[in-house]
Amino acid sequence: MSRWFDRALFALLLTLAMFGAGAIGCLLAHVAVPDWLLPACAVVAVLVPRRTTLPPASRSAPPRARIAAAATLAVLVAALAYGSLATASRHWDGAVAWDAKAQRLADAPTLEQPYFRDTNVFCHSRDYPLLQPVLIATIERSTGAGRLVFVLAFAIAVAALGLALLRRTGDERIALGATLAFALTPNLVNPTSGGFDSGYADGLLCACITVAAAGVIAGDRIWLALGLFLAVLTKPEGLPYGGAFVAAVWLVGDGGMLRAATVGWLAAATLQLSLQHDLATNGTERALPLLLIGCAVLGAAVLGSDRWLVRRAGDARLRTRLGLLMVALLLVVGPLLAACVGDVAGSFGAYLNAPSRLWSRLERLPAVLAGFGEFALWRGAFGLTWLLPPCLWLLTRRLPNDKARRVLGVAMLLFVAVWIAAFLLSPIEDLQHHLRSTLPRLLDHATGAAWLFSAACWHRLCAASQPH
Amino acid sequence: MKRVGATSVVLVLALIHIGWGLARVPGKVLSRRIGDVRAYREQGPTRYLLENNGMGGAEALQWVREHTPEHCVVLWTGDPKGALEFAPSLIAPRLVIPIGACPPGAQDYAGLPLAIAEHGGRRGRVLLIGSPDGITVEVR
Repeated sequence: MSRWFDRALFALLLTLAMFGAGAIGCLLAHVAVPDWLLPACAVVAVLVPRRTTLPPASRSAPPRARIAAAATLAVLVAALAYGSLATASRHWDGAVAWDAKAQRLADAPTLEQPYFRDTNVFCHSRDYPLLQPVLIATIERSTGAGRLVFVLAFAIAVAALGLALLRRTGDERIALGATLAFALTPNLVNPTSGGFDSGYADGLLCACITVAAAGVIAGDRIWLALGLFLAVLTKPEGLPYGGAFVAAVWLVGDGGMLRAATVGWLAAATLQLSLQHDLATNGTERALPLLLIGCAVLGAAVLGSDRWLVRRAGDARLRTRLGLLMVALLLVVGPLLAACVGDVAGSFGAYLNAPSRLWSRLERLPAVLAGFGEFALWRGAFGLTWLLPPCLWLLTRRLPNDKARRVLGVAMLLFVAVWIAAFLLSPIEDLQHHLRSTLPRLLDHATGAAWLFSAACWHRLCAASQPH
Repeated sequence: MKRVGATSVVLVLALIHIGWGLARVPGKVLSRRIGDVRAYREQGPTRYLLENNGMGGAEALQWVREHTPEHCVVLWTGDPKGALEFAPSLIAPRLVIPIGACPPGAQDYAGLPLAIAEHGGRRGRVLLIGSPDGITVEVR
């Protein structure tokens, strides 16, 4: 059964990634996205062989627990399917930004229409990535149920989390428990802004980051690469998140994972930044060749510096010192490029056009941190999602650490750094309003990663507490 | 021994989280979602989205939909933040452009006719006026 789920998840992720690349390619070439693209990608993905071994479960869950977990997940999926399909988006960004684009693309799956091309035409967040709208539009055109994408995103996140823990621990109880804990996190499944069926892209981004984190935990490079690739094409935050994962893997020094993360992140960044440039210049300039070269140089620098450090017999101190530089570079380069080649007043440009705000608003830092406490632990309806990772890290910090947990822990810390920087750099003056409207959605993105980290730490703690 | 205690505490915390999530399923996940969908269907998207966000202007957008052709261009002025953000999707496929993008007296924009209608005994170009808490419509 698990093997079947693993195969299906792989085919689904590969389908989405191939469709994303193909669709963005079509939009860049100023042609319509063909309706056959998605089924064609699905057929190819099903035919691509998947070589992975799932270890037999060392500890099975009782049949009653399996049935109860399956029933709970079925109820949640049914609720999300109903919420997704019953109406169009019932929340702000879903209606004004995401639905509006999906609606136009369903009418004509091309950017060659005034809504996208004419900068006078009111188009909310013109520079947002287009994977979700074009995917919804394509499914809508052929089946009339494009909004099933939201349910699919939830299923992907749940499956990736459960399978990764099963592969890592071989313990069905841990995998089932963590999967339920994630799936029942209220902020993800409540009918609220940013929830999976709200029409926002935060649910799909949460799924992508969960897949990438699952790749780290399960040691699956393909999941890591596909998760980061899809994250960049889903929401602007995908660019710095991808940089955070690459920086974390670089810091910990895992060559194979680093190649996967770098390729996934930079391939998508090339496509996404080219599309932003195309939209910003009304299709008159092509940035793809230049961005391809730039991203290849950046990738070579990341991978080359890692190999150089490995040759120096893994000089940990030197890696840490260079790490500060690498982390800063990888977190900043994506947003900076987006602001330069894309819309200067767009989603990143608005934050980066006055970098001095970062220093002049440092006095806001305590309020931002208090906001994290308030929304992550109390008002954000995340339950214990954000309490457990720091507690478990404290409990396991003296145990022999493995690379996967270190990578995930560092990546999540870098996410927090990105979020703090966003609140300090924001053009929005009313900090409390910004925290209230944005922070729960940012926390949504890493909720799957947080549960993966907690479950991996707990498994480690259990192993250490058992007599040899 | 300490670790055995720690794993138990973590297990209890995880179970509390799952139990809390389960307890919220009937009320928040199911009932509230069903209620939201019902309210959306009863009020229609325009009223639901604007009034649920504490903004007025549903009648204005409804009027635009009823009195202008589907494929036309509607002008706007005022504050683009707030209620006006909803206009492009609620009156789609009409395009919404700022009044300054269209010279006075022009009858079309980029090959599409400007929305022209009669309102309050006056005939002219339809203009949406946005403010943070609502939308009004005028003809000029």
